[in-house]
Amino acid sequence: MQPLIRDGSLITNSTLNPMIKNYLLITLRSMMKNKLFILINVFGLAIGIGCCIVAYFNWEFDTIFNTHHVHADKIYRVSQVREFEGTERLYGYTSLPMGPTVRQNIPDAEKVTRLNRSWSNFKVEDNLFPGGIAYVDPDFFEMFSFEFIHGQPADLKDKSKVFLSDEQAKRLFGSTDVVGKQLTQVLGTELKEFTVGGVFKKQPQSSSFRFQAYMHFDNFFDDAKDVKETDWKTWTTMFVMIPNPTRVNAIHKQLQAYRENNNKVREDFIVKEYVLDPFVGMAQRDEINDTWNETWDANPRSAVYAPTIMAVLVLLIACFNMTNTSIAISSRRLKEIGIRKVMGSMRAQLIVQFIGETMFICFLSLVIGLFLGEVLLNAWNSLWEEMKLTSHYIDNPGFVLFLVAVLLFTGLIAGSYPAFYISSFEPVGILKGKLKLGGTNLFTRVLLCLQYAISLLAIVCSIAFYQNSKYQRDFDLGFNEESVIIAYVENGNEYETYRNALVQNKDILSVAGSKHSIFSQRYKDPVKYESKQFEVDIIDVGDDYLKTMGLTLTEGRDFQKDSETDRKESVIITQKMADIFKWEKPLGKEILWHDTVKLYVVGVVKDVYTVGLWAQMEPMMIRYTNKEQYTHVIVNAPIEKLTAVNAFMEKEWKQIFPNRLYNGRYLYEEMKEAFTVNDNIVKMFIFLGIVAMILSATGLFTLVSLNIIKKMKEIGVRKVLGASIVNITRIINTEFVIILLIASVLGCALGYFMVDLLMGSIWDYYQSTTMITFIVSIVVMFVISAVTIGYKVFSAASMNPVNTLRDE
Amino acid sequence: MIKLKNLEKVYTTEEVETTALNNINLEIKEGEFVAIMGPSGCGKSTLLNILGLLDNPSGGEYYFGEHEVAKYSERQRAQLRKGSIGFVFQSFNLIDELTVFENVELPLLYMKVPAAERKQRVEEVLERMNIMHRRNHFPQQLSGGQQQRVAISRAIVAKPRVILADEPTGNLDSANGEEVMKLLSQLNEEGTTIVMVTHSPYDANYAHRIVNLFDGKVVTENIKEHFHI
Ligand SMILES: Nc1ncnc2c1ncn2[C@@H]1O[C@H](COP(=O)(O)OP(=O)(O)O)[C@@H](O)[C@H]1O
Ligand SMILES: [Mg+2]
Repeated sequence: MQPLIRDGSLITNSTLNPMIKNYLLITLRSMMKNKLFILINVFGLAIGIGCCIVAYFNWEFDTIFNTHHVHADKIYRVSQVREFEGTERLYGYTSLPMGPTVRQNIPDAEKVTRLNRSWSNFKVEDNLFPGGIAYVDPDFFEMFSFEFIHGQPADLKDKSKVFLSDEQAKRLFGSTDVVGKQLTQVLGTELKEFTVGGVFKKQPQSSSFRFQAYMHFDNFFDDAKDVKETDWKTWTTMFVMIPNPTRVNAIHKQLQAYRENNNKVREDFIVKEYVLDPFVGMAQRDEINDTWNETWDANPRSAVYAPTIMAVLVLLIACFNMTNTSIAISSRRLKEIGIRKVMGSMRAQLIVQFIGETMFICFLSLVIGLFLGEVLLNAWNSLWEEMKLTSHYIDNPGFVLFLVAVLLFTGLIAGSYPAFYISSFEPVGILKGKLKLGGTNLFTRVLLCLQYAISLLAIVCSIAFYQNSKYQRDFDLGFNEESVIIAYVENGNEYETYRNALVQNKDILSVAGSKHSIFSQRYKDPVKYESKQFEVDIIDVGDDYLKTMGLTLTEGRDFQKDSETDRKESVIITQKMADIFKWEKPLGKEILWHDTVKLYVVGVVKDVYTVGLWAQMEPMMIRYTNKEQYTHVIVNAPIEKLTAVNAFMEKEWKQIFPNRLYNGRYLYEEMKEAFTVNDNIVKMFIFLGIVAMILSATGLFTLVSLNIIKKMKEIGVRKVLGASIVNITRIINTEFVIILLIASVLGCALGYFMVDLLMGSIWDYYQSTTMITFIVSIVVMFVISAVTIGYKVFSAASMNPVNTLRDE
Repeated sequence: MIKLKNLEKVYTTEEVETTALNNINLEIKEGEFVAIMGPSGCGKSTLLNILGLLDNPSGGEYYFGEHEVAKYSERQRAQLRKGSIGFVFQSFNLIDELTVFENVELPLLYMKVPAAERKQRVEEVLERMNIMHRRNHFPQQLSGGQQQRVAISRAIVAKPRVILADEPTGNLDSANGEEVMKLLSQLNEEGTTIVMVTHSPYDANYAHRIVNLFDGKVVTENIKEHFHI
């Protein structure tokens, strides 16, 4: 019994066990004999491991989201559940006065902070900088973990202090040691002086608080002039810290008492319940449920899961390749196995030897895979602006475990079958030469088929996403997103001044003012028609809005210039709104707004995709507002002149508003994110498709070559008997064509569901797979395969039979 | 040292039963040189494989030394085989990835012979088989006769009590064949028991005794006079 494992696995007394040395020799020499196949496999596995590394850190990024906040488990967001028309929905907001109310009345909520964000400019000496800011209560830095480089977080109590990230401090002052320096906040036409109270290390990208500057909450009231501390209609994001978990339920109950305050003033927004929304997992939940909030969300689930699934699939393909290759190659080593058995080798020793060999190859791949992982990680990072992943191994036992698991998993999958299968043969049979394996058997055929199905899946996905990106680019959003620039001003007077400067430019086709606009600002209110009530998006616009934004009137008329009647009671609606109210003839319909205001439909425009293709288009209603309300300057110019017009607008802006940064944006930039996501997914799938296809094609190449080797004699005999090249080619190929056909069906079916699932989780409007997707994918697969094995098959079919028959 | 009683071997493959060996009774004494002859398919290789503990009989008894081995498990057979039986095959069966030296060394590795002794013993046999100069070559670089000499070296390096040879000259030309036969009978003279399957009456002449098989049965045994126990 004792010699069993000892031979194969131990290193004795500092000298390498001779049997292990013997195994290593054989491994290396047989690897050298099968260089090409081994190379293919090592790189295949390395790419699989590289993909897994990227997928792991991508996944880890999601799991560590907000975990650096040490009090995370004690923090809750006070969120409100709204009930409207029988449905409930969670909002990541609460009324602004809830802050002081909770602080005074609920002592168990030990710390409380509100957070409202704003976009203003900062001025240092004469230079202007964009300065996004968050107004927070003094508890903020005690609740959330910020690493201060300079200054005291406790100074947040001081209303005149501003706290900057190191990045922002460097941008503004060129240094981080800037506590006490002067900073001016530009609020519209007003200037407000601050001193820098502290500089903190920029939050990681896996944080919900990535604001670059923070101030005491009281400053919010200077920013939003019409808002009062007691205004229940204004929303804020509010967090509480509850150190004693047993009090959570009680506090939840206490909160409900304040619903009345909101519900009194917001009949259109009835809060059914205030909930304590745990901070742990908040970023992920908000993302999944599309919850409205002020803080940063985690990545879309599809961006977390899709790379993981795909990486595992690539690794699987590589494993299958490896298994197939080792089965096929080990047939060349049957004789060795037979002889080892004759010499008295135990089966267990052979198993250890073969698994050891694949482990060795896996280890090689792992080393290369680690390098490839870095390369791929860089490539991955370059795709996403908001996510920069870095690999870290030593401080990361989880990941080291993961790598070891990948190694073992691959080694076992790839090594087990040949190890157990081949070691089971009787030496007599082997040495008699009766037993000829190699080439294919049912198992290798199934693996090859699965490989191809997975590759096809990746190809289908890349083609589908590519088609979708074209489809979405050409999608008619109901307005002209390509030739519009929007700049933002404070009021109607500013609009007037700026507009007068702009109209001198003959390239500008039209300028419109408005209070709100598609994609930038809108509000939501319920409106009634007879007994039906729906919530709709509302925008208040000025003259020429439809024309400048490129909305298409399908029925009725535009607003009449300066018509008081139109301002008071006319609306233009989208087709979608007509649809939800089931109006055949929408013109002249009377709708009730705020239960008191009667509005009449004077026009209908083509559907406007108010939130792009991300989510369901909302019904929209357009009202006419007066000049004093204008905050948007909307400019339309021919696409080819747009850059010049933008430069002109910036030049004029600097003249008119020297204290403020020019804030004009191309409308299409607002939508760019949609395309970036799509393009990135296309890139990811193209990469995976290519990798999967190369791996599978090499798998096929391996099997075909080894099959040819096995069938050499048959081919020789057939040729002697008069078979043509075509005949022989058919003999070699039929089996593989069948495998590929089965894989086509499988891969297309998988692709159909996966594409729909992925796209559905990202967009509401997209083009899923079409017949073309599948046909192109299958053709690509067959062409690549044919090219890969074509030469091999042809040279086998056309060889001189004398060469093979001489051997015997 | 080898004794077979009513030995049977039946192959059952997909409903076809082949009786390869039928009621074999045979005794082989220590130091004997036995040739097994008979037409193709009569069961010679089957018999040799059972003698070599590569395969189990389906019935009957098999005494190897003092052990009754007919019902031994694969592991027990491997254990007993190690070092006590040497094999020589018609098709040499050398491992292509190993050099001459490493091929010959292999049985000693399985027996855990220390490195220094291994080297000495391997070199001894290689010297004796006159292929020392080829010790670092790979099998494919050798002629058939040389390969078979390596195979014989491998068979004898562990100093087995029995050498089983299945048509050892089958793939060799007559000159090389004769050389191999001389080597075998020399080994036999030094005390190794040899059982050899052959088609060649000329080769069979080297043996003390010829066992003729037909259809899985022993038909005749010719004993040469000059052999004394
Ligand atoms: N593994 C096996 N399975 C089935 N039948 C076998 C097997 N090995 C040998 N036989 C059959 O047993 C008989 C004896 O074979 P074998 O011992 O190889 O003959 P020989 O070596 O004398 O030519 C033959 O009929 C052969 O077909
Ligand atoms: Mg035979």
